[in-house]
Amino acid sequence: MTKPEILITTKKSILKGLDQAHSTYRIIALTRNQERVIYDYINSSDEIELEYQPTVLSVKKFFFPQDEIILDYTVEGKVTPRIEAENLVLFGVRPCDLNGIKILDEAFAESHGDPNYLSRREKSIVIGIDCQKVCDKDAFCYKVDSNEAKGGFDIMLYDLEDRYVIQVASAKGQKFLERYFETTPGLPSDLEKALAKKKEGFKGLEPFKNLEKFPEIFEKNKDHPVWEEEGSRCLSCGSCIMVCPTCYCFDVADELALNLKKGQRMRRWDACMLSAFAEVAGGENFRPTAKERLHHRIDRKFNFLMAKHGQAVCVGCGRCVRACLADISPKVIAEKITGK
Amino acid sequence: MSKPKVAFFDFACCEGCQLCAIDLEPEQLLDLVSVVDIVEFREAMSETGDQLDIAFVEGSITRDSDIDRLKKIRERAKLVVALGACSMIAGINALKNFQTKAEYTQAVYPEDPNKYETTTAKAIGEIIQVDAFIPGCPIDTGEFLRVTKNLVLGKTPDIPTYPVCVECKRNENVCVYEKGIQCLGPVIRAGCNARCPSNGGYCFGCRGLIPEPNINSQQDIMQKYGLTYEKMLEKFKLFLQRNQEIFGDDQ
Repeated sequence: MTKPEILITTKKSILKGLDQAHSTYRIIALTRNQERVIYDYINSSDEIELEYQPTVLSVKKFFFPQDEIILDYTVEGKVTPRIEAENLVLFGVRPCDLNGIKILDEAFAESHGDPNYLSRREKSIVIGIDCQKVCDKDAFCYKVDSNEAKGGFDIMLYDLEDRYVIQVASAKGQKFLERYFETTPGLPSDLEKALAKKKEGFKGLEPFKNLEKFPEIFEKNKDHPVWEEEGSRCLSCGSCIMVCPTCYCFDVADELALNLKKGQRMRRWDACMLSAFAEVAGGENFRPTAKERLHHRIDRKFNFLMAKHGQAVCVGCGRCVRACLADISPKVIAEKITGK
Repeated sequence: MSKPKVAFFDFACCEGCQLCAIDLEPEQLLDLVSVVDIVEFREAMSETGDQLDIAFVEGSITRDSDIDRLKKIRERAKLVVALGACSMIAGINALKNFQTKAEYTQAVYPEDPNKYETTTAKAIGEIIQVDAFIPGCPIDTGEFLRVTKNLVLGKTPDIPTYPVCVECKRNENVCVYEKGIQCLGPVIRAGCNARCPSNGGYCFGCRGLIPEPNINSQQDIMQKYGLTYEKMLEKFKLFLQRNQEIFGDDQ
């Protein structure tokens, strides 16, 4: 990231710019859909909800959809890969989800890279909006040092009443900004003002004291009673994983057409909390109990993947806490193991 | 290679699952008959076959005389597939099992309670070995086609073992518990694309329990969300009467 230049724009100009961009990009924003507020495609900036309300799913679904066809095949052996990416603008993504995107970017870029995910990211412009307060009682972004975006965005907006302070983080963000948003130069004090408001909003909400040491601490607590206490209530329903902005496991299955002549290779979200996830041919299951599965999931967030990504892989968005009918929370587990 | 011979049979049921099985687009029907030979299907044809590769059986066993007929089907067929909730888990036919025979025969036929033969409603798997099942009330046509295709290919049918919650979350539904409605989704087998909760209802449990349901936790949750123990059991009654963990052994 180059040294950020500070720019100012009005909220009106941003909304107008999005409407103009609509002819070239599909626009995604927080919007009302029946009884829910979700990230969805919009046709006009009038449909945007600027005030954040927690959504069931994160913006992950636009880069790594619930289901996708990754190739078509015929029984004669003709194989055609499918990569479907379109020009997208994701507007109003909050820091938790931006950190989620950053983690997914790292995960999907590994080894040969995942062409489907990466091409969608390549063709997208992510516009973040910083949070100035915690969104509800279940969110705990501040506990895992995730209430500020460490990456995952092209343009970041900081709320300054009827204006935004803008920071640009990528060349494609810069190009988009120049094309669609009217800006005026800003001062470092403008950004400081927005950040001061954030500081006020998060006053007294501190990260876990020993957050950096989590991988080490979780490694030492493999037999902690919390795994049984929390795991015994777990329904193994997979809800926590479905809603998680950083879970990226998937299953791949060939779906042969009924005429047995051609087929499609599908990939769909999978979940390590589901009983069949670690089941292999012959029926052996490497994680047969909910307790082991919960331990594994939390270890991915706070132990081995955290060590790999250099940040907690739980971004504290609170979605799994809201979704869990049995009231199982990574925050509570971390508190029981590491202290408040 | 000759096509596998397939037949359909029914016991106590509404025959709706068989209807779903042939509720096909013309192209699907042609594809289906290009891979299987349907030799017996009372709802769709008059011929009968002899030896069978796959027997789809709809309906619950509710009379002693059904047992012989079911066993004969088993003898004729290489594979027996339970078609739908009545066959797989005894379905709503098993609601009568909550009453004594005297009570329900009196209620239904007050003029002549002993006119018809009837006994405890059972799933076919309680009588014979079942090789595969297609859950639901009614079944999903797409799932029927997938299972049939897999059986023809010699593969184990890929029926979800995870619960309805997975599909609700994928569809980004607001959890019905948040609307004050108690749902069986967390312990019921998915594969219906969460049809009821996605359309203003809640999960009644027609696809049966997942293989390892956490019934204790489900009961705690329903009670936490305001149901008394009795009211909670009412919710389980509709489709899960044959589950011994919930309702005990009625034999």
